[in-house]
Amino acid sequence: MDHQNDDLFKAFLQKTHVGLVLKKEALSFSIYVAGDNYLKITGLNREALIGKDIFDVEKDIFPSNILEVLERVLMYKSEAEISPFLLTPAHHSKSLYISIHISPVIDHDGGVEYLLYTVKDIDQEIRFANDRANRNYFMDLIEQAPVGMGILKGRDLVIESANNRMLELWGKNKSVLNMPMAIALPELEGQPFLRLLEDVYTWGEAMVGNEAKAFILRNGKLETAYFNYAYQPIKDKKGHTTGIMMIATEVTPLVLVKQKLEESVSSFRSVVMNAHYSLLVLKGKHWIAEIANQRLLDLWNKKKEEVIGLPLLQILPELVGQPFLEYLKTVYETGKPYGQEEEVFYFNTANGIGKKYVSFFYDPMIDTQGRVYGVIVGAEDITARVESRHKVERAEEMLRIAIESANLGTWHYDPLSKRLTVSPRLKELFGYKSNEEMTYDTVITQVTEEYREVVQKAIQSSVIKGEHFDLEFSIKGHYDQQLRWMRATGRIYRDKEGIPVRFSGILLDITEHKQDEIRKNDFIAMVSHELKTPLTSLKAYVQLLSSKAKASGDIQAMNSLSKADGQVNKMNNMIKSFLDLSRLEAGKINLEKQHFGLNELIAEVIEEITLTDRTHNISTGNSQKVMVFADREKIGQVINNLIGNAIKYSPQGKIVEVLCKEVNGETLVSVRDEGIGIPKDDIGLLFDRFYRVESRKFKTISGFGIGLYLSAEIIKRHEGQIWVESEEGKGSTFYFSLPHKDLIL
Amino acid sequence: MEKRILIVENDLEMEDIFKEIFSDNGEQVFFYEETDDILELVEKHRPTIVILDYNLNGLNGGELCKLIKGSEKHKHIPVLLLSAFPKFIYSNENVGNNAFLEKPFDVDELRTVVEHIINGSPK
Repeated sequence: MDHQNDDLFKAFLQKTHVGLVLKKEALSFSIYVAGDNYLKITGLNREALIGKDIFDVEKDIFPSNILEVLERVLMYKSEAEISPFLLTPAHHSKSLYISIHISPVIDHDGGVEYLLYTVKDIDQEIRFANDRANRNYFMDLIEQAPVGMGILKGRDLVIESANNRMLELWGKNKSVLNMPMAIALPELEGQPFLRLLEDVYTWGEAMVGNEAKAFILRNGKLETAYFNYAYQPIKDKKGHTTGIMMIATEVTPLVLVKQKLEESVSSFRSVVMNAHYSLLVLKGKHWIAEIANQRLLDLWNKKKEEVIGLPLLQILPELVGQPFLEYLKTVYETGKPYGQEEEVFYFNTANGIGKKYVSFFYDPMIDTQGRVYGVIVGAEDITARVESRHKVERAEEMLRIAIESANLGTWHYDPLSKRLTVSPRLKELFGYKSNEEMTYDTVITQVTEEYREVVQKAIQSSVIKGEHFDLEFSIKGHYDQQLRWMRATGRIYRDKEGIPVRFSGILLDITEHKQDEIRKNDFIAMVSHELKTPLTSLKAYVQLLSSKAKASGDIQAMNSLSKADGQVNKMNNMIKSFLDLSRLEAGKINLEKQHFGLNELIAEVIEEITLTDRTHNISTGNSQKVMVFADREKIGQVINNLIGNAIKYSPQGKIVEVLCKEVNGETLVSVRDEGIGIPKDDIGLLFDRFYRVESRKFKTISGFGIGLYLSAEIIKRHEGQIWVESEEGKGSTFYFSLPHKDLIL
Repeated sequence: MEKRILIVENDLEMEDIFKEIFSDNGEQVFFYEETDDILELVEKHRPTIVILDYNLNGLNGGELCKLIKGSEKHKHIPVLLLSAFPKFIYSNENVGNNAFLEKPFDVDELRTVVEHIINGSPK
């Protein structure tokens, strides 16, 4: 090749894309031509290359195996390629990938003297391939992330990618990829998210949301879901937003739990506030009153602001020294609830220290770590209940003391089971040992014969008619056979249906009293007998004298003696009534009943009275003729007594009216006077023994106060009734009735 | 017919009274304060009627009455019992007396009762 042609050829090669032209040397290759393109890529000067052996130039611009490759090309006269080769150019800090193509230049002899070494910048290509790999890796990460992730591109918010989790959250599948959000999730219309995304896109500002409520169409159903999310703008190099990266996690279960918790807290609060007993929630180690209902405030007598938010001991400093604090402490320490039925609660008031009885419980509130963080206090003011119980207890105690100190026996009889329960004292009274059982039947046989029937009847009528039971009777001791006098009182207790469930009462030993009474009655009997003895001779003398005066025609003596006889009768009647009384009280009056005309008896009594009293007009008005079955003598005594009283208590009044008639089969006798009448307060007591109306008006009127009592007793024994109607100053009417004849047998 | 009246009564005061009551018609009164052997007295005086007070020392009037009524020979003799206690006190006890009179008695009534039971119609 001539020089001119050589220069031209070299210049041409320099401008072509061929990198280098290498020339075969003895042992190596030298650089014959270096193209502009090659210099540009490698950043080397041509002067540093031309004519140089390839091993004499800067290191690393040829691959390490370059000699081997060149020799092979030379030998086989075939092309070779090295790709990629990471070249570190001299002027660059950054390496770049190139591909190297080597082809032999075969001369006309078929030999090879020159090799074409062309390079191509494949840096972009290679790097792009690497990027792709990285990107795929990243995408895999995203795909498998447990949070929803997605990328939206462009202003239309096209879903460029969305990981599985995100698709799940949306309730969609991959078909939504490459669709704008608004189309992929049409349900978002009207919800704030699209608008937020647009804002992020527009303003390039990230945005996060917590527990945002969204309605999402999942599996064809619109569901309510809650999300935590972050929208992060993706920007290009110029800072323009090109897309949005979305990260979202669903927190629906959490939110629901939270809501439930809130609901239960609020329902707990309402339970507390509306509870029928005092409730208080104390929190923390200082026992801060967090919730307190009105009842608690009432119990403590505090206002709400004096309680809520304050430590317990500040609210009630008086609790120091009371047992509540210890209990509370224990509950905090052990986590075990504590309660007590009854405890005294002292509290400060404006007037000193108040006292209430409370029943209460402490329920610990325990956190997830098992620690007590608060206590629910429930309390009830049971003061009224306790006080009334104390009252009852006191009353019972007093009753017990009374029964014991009075040596009373008590008894309970269950009419249904016929079971008799008695106190030890009662057993003692009946002559039993305290461990022995007593039955109703044995008790009845122990009652002495004369009272047995009376007692049985009284019990029966008490059970049937609910009458109060009050009876005196004598019994024989079980072992000692000793006679004892008893007074038993009792009444029947019925349940709501009126069924007798318990017949109970007390038993009093009245033996001593009874013996006294017997002695007294014996004494009265003796006295009256002794008084009557002289009266008998006195009366006989008076009558004998009277008949003598009659014979001699001594009228004056006759009158006097007749009056004397009357006085003897009067005295005799007084003595008789005493005797009657004592007999009556000893229960020894027996009725001798017979059929007789009551009118006749009344007439007889009036006649007798008229003998000594001529100042009153005693009439029998429109009396009917009435036959009765009764003790003639005793009924006569009653009529005598009533007419006698009528005369005695009407010093001015002249009229006494005795009426007798039948009303509804009952015999009714009335004795009316126009006398001084009876004060209202005395009427009820009139038939009591020895009762006399205390008044100046009555002072001058003689009497023992036993007449009406005796009359009442006699009528009572006839199972009749006696009563009085009276108006002070106007007079009185005494009535007695005898029962229906059919009932008298 | 002359009546013979045997009376046992511990109130001596009554002896004169009985004698005066029954003297008019010529009755004969045998008065004793008490007795342990009423049948002997009956045998001795052969009374038309016996009047016995209930309360006596020793045997009481009721017991004496029972003795008379228990004797075949004398049970026909009417007996009148007297007492300051009312009749009902003794009503549980049947001693066989023909009549009873409570003291103090009416003189006329006494005469009537005595007359009655002697004639065999008890009052």
